[in-house]
Formats: sequence, structure tokens, C-alpha cells
Amino acid sequence: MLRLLRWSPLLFLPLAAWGFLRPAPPDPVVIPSAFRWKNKYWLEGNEELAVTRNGIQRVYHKVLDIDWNPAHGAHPVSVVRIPYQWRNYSEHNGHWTDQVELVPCIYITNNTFLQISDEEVDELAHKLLRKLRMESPKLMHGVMLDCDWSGKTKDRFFRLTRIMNDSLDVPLTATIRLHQYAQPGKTGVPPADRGMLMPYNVGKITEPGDVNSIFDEATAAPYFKGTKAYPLPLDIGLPAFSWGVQFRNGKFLGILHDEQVQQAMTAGMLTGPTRGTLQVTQENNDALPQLHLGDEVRMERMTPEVIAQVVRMARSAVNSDTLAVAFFELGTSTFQQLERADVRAGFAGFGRIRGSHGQVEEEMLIEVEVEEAYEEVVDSALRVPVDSAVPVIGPKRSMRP
Amino acid sequence: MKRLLPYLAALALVAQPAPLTSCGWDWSSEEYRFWLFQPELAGSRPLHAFYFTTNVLYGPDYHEITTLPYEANMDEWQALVGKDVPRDDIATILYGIAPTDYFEQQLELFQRNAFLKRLARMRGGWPEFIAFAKRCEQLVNSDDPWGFIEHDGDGIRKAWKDGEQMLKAAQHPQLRARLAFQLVRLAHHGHDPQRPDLNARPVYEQHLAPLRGKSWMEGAAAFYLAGMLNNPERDLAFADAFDRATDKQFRMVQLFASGEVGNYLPLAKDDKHRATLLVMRDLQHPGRALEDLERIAAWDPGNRHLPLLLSREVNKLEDWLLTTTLTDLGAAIRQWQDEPEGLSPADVLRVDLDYLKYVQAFITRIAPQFDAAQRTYLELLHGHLSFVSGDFVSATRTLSAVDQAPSAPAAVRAQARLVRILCGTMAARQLTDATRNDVLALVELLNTAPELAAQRNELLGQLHLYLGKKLIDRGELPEGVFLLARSNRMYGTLFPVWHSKNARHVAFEKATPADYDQMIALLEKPDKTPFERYLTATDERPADWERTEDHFQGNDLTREKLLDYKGMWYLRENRLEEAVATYRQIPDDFWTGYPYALFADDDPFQLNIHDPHNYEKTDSVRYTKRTIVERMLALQREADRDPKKRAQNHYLLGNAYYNMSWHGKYWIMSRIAWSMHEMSQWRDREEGGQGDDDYFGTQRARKHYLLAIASAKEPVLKAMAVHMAGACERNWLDYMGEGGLDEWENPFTSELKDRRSRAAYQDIEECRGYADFVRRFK
Repeated sequence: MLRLLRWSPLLFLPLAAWGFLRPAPPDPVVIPSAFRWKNKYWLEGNEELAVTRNGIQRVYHKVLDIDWNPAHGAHPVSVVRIPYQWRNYSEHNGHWTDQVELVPCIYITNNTFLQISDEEVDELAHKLLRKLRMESPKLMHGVMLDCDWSGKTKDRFFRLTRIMNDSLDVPLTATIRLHQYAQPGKTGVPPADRGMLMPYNVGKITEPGDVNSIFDEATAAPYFKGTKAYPLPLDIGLPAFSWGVQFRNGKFLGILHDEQVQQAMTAGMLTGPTRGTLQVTQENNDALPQLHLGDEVRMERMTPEVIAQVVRMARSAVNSDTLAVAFFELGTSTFQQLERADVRAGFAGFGRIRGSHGQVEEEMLIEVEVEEAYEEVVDSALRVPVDSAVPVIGPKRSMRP
Repeated sequence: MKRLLPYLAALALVAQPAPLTSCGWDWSSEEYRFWLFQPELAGSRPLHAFYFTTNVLYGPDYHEITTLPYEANMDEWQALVGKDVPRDDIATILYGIAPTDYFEQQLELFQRNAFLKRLARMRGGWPEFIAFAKRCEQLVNSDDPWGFIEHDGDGIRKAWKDGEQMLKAAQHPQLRARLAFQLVRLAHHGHDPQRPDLNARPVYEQHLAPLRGKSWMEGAAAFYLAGMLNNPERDLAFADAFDRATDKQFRMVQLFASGEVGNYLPLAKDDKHRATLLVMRDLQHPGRALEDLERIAAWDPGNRHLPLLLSREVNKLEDWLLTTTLTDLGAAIRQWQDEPEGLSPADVLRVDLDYLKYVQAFITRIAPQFDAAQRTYLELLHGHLSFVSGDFVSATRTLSAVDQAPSAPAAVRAQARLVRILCGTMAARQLTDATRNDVLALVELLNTAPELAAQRNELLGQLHLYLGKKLIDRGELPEGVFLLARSNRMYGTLFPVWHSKNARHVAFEKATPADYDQMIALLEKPDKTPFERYLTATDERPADWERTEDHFQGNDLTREKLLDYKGMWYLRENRLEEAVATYRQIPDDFWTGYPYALFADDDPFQLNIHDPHNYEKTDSVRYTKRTIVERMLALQREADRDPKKRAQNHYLLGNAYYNMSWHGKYWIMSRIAWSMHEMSQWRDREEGGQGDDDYFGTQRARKHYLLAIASAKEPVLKAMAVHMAGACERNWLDYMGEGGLDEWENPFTSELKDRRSRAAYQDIEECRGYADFVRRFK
């Protein structure tokens, strides 16, 4: 018997051999995507260009911002119509309908769920569904709910998610913050079809110092260490925006979006390294009265290198054979000024990029006639990659996902 | 630039006024509607929008619309919280903060606002009421944020439920009334025939109806309830609540279906109700309303709206009778109406005058129904109508009584004084020292009386228009033109080009050389009387008076312009000696300015019929108006004494007269404006002007070409004269509109007896050597 046992390891040889010799699982298929999170419905020329030149196949388009007040209860504070690229005024398809997938997105403040009852959650869900029917074209490839739910609001947000998911015949996606990703047992898993992992905005924006609050590898890393596969198939959001964080006497004051930073720099109000912390050395009460002498502005920029860090880290979160990787967001100059190769690297970092007609292609970049024009725009633009459309953080502004 | 002028003028003329079926560029009828009676004197502030106007609404004056209900509401709050609470603090919370801001700042506001602090001390649901009222305000003033329906129906229903709970718990009767009012208001804005769940009537009956005559809320709530009914019940309910809901009167009249009143009358509950239905109709009625007013007075003697409705009739009659006579544009209210078929303007005028008499008789008849103050106002209306009808003696008598009535408000007296003085001025056949002083007194009154301050600018414009036009009509043209020049009103368009006519244009149309001389003498007189200084805008006046002299300066009534116009008058009469004597008084550098410089490159004695406006710039000799007339005289004299020169000189004179016509390049010798459409428009004019036969029909030019033909020996000259005489003949036929131009043949070719002149004519017709022929005779 012992003699037989001596040869027993050989029994595992076929298993080990199968382990070594079995074909590697195919790389996931990546749907190149982008968020569109502005409050005006028409796409600017640069936004349209950013879609075509980067071969974006899916756009997550924010259509509603929901907040609460005592009069109207939960209600839209902004409604963004679907751009004519997907739906024209005659209710016909737009010219992108069959080329670029559309996922309408709804941002709901956490405060909304703090204020409303279960019955009102049901009512909100029905209104959202009705509004989606009103605003959306016939062909859409999903719906996304974005809410930074907390322990207090989890139940009501999940209730809303469930009702909507039951009623929609397209996949429902819920955004997943890093802390929710890392501790699904504690924060719960929304009853959606998919999750959109947002592996950024993990830092404390209000803290002075030089840590980039949009993404800092050291801050984000613990969320991925030892984390099991998330219970929902995940898509991935990548940050492609920049902003300036304003401090006075070490206290956080607010955010300057890119246009403001650009304006301040042009007016000679800021001094210092364009990638570090700038100092207000000159005031201009007409242009930017909120900037006072001595204020500091910490520039937080998403460069191709930082985005690559995000990609490397978020790769471990991939848990399905097909996923969307979406840059946030289309209207920012940060995204618009990224090289095509950098954008492509962001997608390819997660798997094989899906071809524009569904098949996987090695080279899928869409050649566009306007290429030269774009290069001209880039060349003539100030090569300080500050954004032009990053929303200002404030109690009333949504900056998600 | 001159080359462009005809095109610019033509472009303007394409947009000439015509009945429009859609929106388009045009002048506003209010720019020329004549009025001197201020409708504000009626004192019906809530109905301010319905004072007579040719616009949709009179005003706007949002301040008046909002102030009245705000004040009434704050009075009731002040009575509740006590006089020690600053009114500003009440106003801040009620009207100075948006609901969303209130929600955000609520805690802070309760710490610093005295009104809220007092409510917090009162407890009993008052602080909660303010939040509830703000919530209601947000709901009724905003659209449905979801875009599903007009208002947020669900939000309103939730608020209604909360309001019902608050009403049940409320103890204070005024709090109950206010909550009830909010509920009725919510029900009105959330009214949905498919969801008749908000039953506001019992709430109204229980908590608001008892406040009838005591609180503004009752009437306003009655309006909200009425608004939820279908017609005819709605309009009948509006009429019932009309006098109780003053802050909602504007909206009720706006919503009121005026065309249905005839059907509503039998459904009215009593005579007063019937009278109010007619009042609501007549507040917007643009035509004669006297028949309705008679019925109102019969059904509801002393009806409080009759003075306003009669003011509307006075303003209408001013428009029908005075806009028509003081402007070229007809009654403003009839801007887009065609002339009534089969009626002449005189017929219309007579009917309107008859109507005026009926209105006056009505005023006399109903005056006893009113108290003393209102009777004085009715007298003012009566006197003003006498002024409108031209019965200045009667008007003066009535208005003097009003001016001296101790009970009359200052504004009414000021209005009476204004028109009384004007009547005195107009009652005299011509200006006297007394009436000249009256004009100055009028100007001073208008510039200084605080009661007239609100409409000062408009009134001064109307006064100067009235005085100017009336003086011109009665033969005192110099004074009339100078007074008219101070008016900022529109009173006509300069035919045929599109822009507002000014006093200088009126002088050009009407003045004689004697008038021009008087005007120039007035301008140049060294020791002017105060009246003459006023006429010529050389008076010294307080800085805070209206700057009507700016309008005067804009008229450009200068010595040189007036001399130019005088010279043109002589030219039109073909009195060349007097014309040149006039032009010799003008310095030469005057002709280098606009618009004369535009003609500097043109030779009026040369004429290429293929380029009559010298667009090709082929002329080389330069002239001014003086040198043109001087040469014309020289040519004429030479022709008279030298038979050898006669033919060519008459040909050149023919060219000069042709070029001075509408057809030629030097039309500015005859007119002050030009349009390519003038010929076609000329036929639409009811009256011709001085010199039209020469200007459009080129008769004078034709006469000289015929003289040239008669004495010409040189074949080319003869052929050229025949050719131009033929052109003048065609112009005449075209001007007379007799037609037949397609088959027309030059009747003067029979004068070409020799072969060479016939050959030359053939060359001209076939454009062989024509340019050389043109250059040959200068």
C-alpha cells in the first residue's frame, strides 16, 4: 500500500500537465467608451471629434440630475436632452444610432434618498422610467444610475434600482465607488445587471498638501489588495479630467475648473509650477474675484502616466469577458488632448478592443477626415492640460462618476 | 455714395407700410397716436393695463400691478405681528427671497429677521406656515420639473395633504384663513379635470367666505375658484368676484371671453352682475363703447369703472379726430384698416364728431350719479371733449371750473389748466401777445408742474405737434414750423422715402418764399422777444426742463437750408432770376457738404439718356446750384439774342431741366429726396405737388428741346433734340398713366426733314456714335 502511495504524486501529473498546457483564457473584450456629463444637450465640435478620432463605441450620457427640495420632493434639477446624433427632432434615429451605443445616465444625490420615503422611492422610480421613455431614443444599450449611496441610503437606492431593473429591458448599471468595491459585504451590492467601477476620487480633496485627490496610487492601492471578484460584472471608468483646488490659509475653499485656471494663468494671476501648487500673486476683481492674494491652487491633472497607473490597478477588477472602459469625460480638454495612442492604451490595458462592428480588431482606430484639423487644434492649444469642463464641486453640483 | 442712394431708397420703399398678415418691421402706432388726456387721471391702478392704447396693453407698469396686492397683504401681516416689526423685514420674507433660498437659509433667517422671530414667538403653527407658503409659492410659480404637465401635480397634491393637516391643527383664525388660501391656490394651479381630488370650495366656504370685505384673500381665493370652472360659469364668476379681487382684475380681464358677453347677460344673477360683465368687455374694446356704457349706468348707477371707461372713450376720440388732422397717418387705432367702403374721410369725421357729442351728453346725464370729486373728473372729460371737437370757448369755460374746483385732485387741475391755456391760444384767430405768452406759460407748466412730470416728455411732444400743425393750418407757418420742430412725435413720412418727416420737410412742402423770409428773419433777429427766442430755440431755460431744443436742432432749420428750399421753390416755378438771387446769398462752401457733395461730379447740362444718373462718371464739369442757375440764365439770354446759339442753348437748357427732374441726375435741384419707386407711387397720391408736371412729366425740358428742334441747323444737334423731345414725351405719357408705350413711336421724327439728320437719328437709335454726340454739346 505504501509502495503504491509512493507513486501517488504521479496521479497529479495529468492534472498539473493540464494546468500548464490548457489554453489561456481569452483576454476580455473591451468596449471603448466615454462619459458625457455636461448640462447642455448639443455636442460641441471637439466632443464629436473626440468620439470619432478615438473610436468610441459607447457613450454614457447624463440625462438627469435628481435632487430633493421641500416643494417638489425628488425632482430633476437638470434635464439634458439626448443629442441629435442619436435622436433628431422628428423622432427618427440620428446618424450615430447604429455606430455609437448610447447609455442614458441618471445622477441622484445621496440627500435625495435621505429625504424620501419608500413610497416616494417607488414614485421616483416610475417617474424616472416615464422620463426615460420621453427622452430616450428607441435604441439604447443600457441605463446607468449614479449615486454615492451610504449605509443610511443603501436600502432606498437598492429599492429604486430593483424597481427600475425589473422594468427595463436593457441592462441596468450602477456606479460602484472604490470603498463599495472593496467591501461589498458591508456596503451591499446594488441589484443591477452591471457595476461601473470608478477607481478615482479616492483622496480627500479638502486636505492641503500635494496629494492628487483625483487619483493617488498609494491611496487607491489598499482597495484592490486581496479583494475578491466583485459580485457584479464590472465596467471600468477612467479619469480624464483635471482641476485646481483652491485653499486659503490652508483651508479648502472650492474648485476652479479648467477655464478659470486657464483664465487666471493668462491674466498672470498665478505663479508656480503648472503641475504642482500655484500661488495667487495678483488679484483681478473683474475676472476672478474669488482668488485672493496668497491663495494656493493645487493643480490636479490626469496625465497619460497617471491614467496608466489607474489602468494597471483597475485591471485586477475585471471579472467578465466583455466590459466597457469609459473615460470621464468627453468634454474635458484633458481627454480631448490625449494622444490617440494613450486613449487606446487605456482601453487595451483591459483586453482586446472590440471592433467597430462587434468583431475584435487589432487596429480599430477610426480614421477621420478631420484628423488634421484636430492636430491643429491640439498644436495651437496651450499645452497645460487643464480641463475646460470639470464641474465645480459644491453641494449642488454633481461631479460623478 | 450718391450712386447707392437710389438703391437704398428703393430698398426702403420695398418695405413701405402696407397691411401686414404677419410680423414685420414697421413704426408703432403709439409713435403717432395723438393724445393730451392722461389716462392715469382715472386713478384705476389695478386696471392700468387697460387704459386706452393701440398696443396690446397700456404700460407696462409691473410695479403698480405688484405693489397693490403686496401692500394689502403686508398690512394684514403687520396687523397680526404688531407695528414694532419693521415692514422691511416682512417684505423681505414675503417678497424678497426665493423659496429655494428660503429653504436653504431658513435657520439663519429665523435668527436675524424680526418678522420670523415674532412668528417663532407666537408659535401655534406660524413658523411652519411660512415654510408651507414658500413651498406653495415654489409649486405654483414653477413648471413641472419633470416636464410631464404644466405644474408639478404630485408636488401640489402632497402639499395639499400637508396643508390640510396644518389647517386641522391651526387655532388662530387668521392662520386658518391663510392656510385655506394656500389650499385654494394649490387647487387652482393643480387643477386637473382628470384628477378632481382637490376640493377647494368647502375650504373656501368655511374659512375665507366669512372674510368677504375684510381681507384681500377672500376675493383672490374667489378668483382661483372661478378659474377652475368652465365657461360660462367661469366668466360669470369672474364678474361676480371682479370688484372684490382687485389684484386679480388684470388677469380676469385677460382671460375674459369678451365675445361671449351677449350670451352671458341672461345668466347674470342681477343688474350689477350684468353691468360688470359689460365693464369687463369694454376694458378692452377698441371701438365705440357708449351703448354699453349706457347700459352699465342704467344697471348700476354710479358704477365705479365708468370714469375709466369714459377716459378710454376720450382717448379714442382724440385718436379718431386729432391724430387724423395732426398727422398724415390717420387714426392710430385704424393703422391696418382699410378705408370704410363708400365713406369718405369727411363722412368718418362727421360720424366721429357726432359720437363725441353723444359721449358728452352721456357724461352730463350720469354726472348726478357720482360724488363731488368724481363729478369734477367727469367735467374734465366733458371739457376735454369740447377741446377735441374744436369748441374752445366751451372747453375753456368747463376746464376753468375744474381748475378752480377745490375738491379736485392736483393732477386733475393741472390737466384742466394745460388744456384750458391751449384752448385760449387756439381760440384766437392768430397769435397775439397774450397767446404768445400763453404758449410760453404752457411750456413752463409742463416743465414744472409735478402732477405732469410722469408724462412730461410725451405731453411736450404732443403739445408742440398740436400747436405747430394748427398754426401752420391757419397760416402762421413760420411759427408753426418752429414749434413743430420741438416735437419728438411722428407725424408723417417723407414721400417717397421711408423715414419720419420733420418740421423742415413740412416747410419744404408748404412754405412760400415769404414764409422762408420770415423764418430766416426770425433766426437772424438780434433782439428777440422771449417768444421768438423760444421759437428759434435760443432761449435760456432751467437745466431740468425737457430738452426739446435738441429736437429743434435735429431739424436743421438753418438759414442756408431755408434759402436752398426757397431757391428750389423759385426753380419749381421757373423763376430763375429770383432763384439765383436766393442762391447768391448762400456761401459756396455750403454746397460741399452733405448731400450736395454727392452731386459734385455731375454736369447737369450734359445728358446721356442711357446713363441719365451718370453712374459711369463720364461728366467732367463741376457745378453748384448757384452756378447751374447762373448758366441756365446765361444760356437763355444768349439764345434770345443770338440765333446761331439758339438751338444748342435750348438743347442744353432742355438737358438741365431734364436732369432736374426725377429722371435725371440733378434731381436735388427740385426735391429733397428721391426714390426709384416714386413714379408708381405718385399715381397713388391723392394730391399732386408743386411742379410735378415738370418733375415727373419733363414738360419744361420738352419745351426747350422743341425750341432746339425748331432752330437747329446742325443735323446731329437736331437729331439729339428730337430724340430727347421724344424721351420727354414718353415720360409725360408714363406720368399721365395713359399706357400705350409699347407701340409708341417718337412723334417728333417728322421734324427731321433732311437725310443727314435722319441718318444721325438712326445712329442715335442704334447707339452708333451716341457717346460722341453727347460730348459734342456742352
